[in-house]
Amino acid sequence: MADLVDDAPRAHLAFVDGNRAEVVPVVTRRVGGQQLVAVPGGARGLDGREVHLVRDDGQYWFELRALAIRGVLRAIPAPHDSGREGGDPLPWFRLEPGRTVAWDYGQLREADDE
Amino acid sequence: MSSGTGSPLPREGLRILRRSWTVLVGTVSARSRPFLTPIHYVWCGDEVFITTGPRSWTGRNVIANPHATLVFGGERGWPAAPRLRVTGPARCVHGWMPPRALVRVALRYYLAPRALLDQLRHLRQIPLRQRYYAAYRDRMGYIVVRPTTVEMLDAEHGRDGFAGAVLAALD
Repeated sequence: MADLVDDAPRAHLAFVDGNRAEVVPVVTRRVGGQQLVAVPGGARGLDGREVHLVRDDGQYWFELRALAIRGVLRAIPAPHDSGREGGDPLPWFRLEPGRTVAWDYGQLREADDE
Repeated sequence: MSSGTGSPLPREGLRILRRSWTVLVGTVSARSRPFLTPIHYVWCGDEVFITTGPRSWTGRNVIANPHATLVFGGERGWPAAPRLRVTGPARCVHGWMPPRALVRVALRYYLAPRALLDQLRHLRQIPLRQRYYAAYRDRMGYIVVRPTTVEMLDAEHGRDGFAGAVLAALD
């Protein structure tokens, strides 16, 4: 799953907006063990909000893998190498992680309950 | 295929759907917490059929709060690819999908050449998958979303990947 942590094919974030789920594609980066998230296209009011971050990969059943992190976003300055020189700066956040769940159906095996 | 809003999907939207194998399904729990997970789906008529039932987190959320946000696209190393975002009322249905949707699921995810290859590579794990499904048999079901808004999200390729902006809202 290490590649999903560092370089997932896609990453999305869900948060609650008016009792409905809002889902946006995000840019993620790990710096010094911290999970950083940039939210292109606007991130008004996300500081301090609970979110569910999902990175996933795969098409068919045994290829499906994902890493899902529930946590709270904290606004931070853009990392030095955020790569947006000359463009509109992306709003960056640090994700304070809570519960993390991962699955990889290709590694499905009998659970050892002993 | 229409957007469910009475408008046909834009060509780019159709292209995204053809290349998209899992949809990101966003729901809200009974305690107003966000939940997101990738799931197999088929778009059938004016509805999206999602292959998870009432015992899953997504199913339980839909029962508590019957609305879903779906995002298609961006798979297979295309993080900056455009996305299709769909919202609408969702319902959790017990039992088997209608035959038309079920056939599409079978053809797309189990009988397509690459799907068969995927299963051949994991022959020894198929009995485990059957046991996994059998645990849910008493509450088998699926989720149906009827799109009310369909948006194309633009993508800006670059070091930071996706830079989204709504291109078109067909609502």
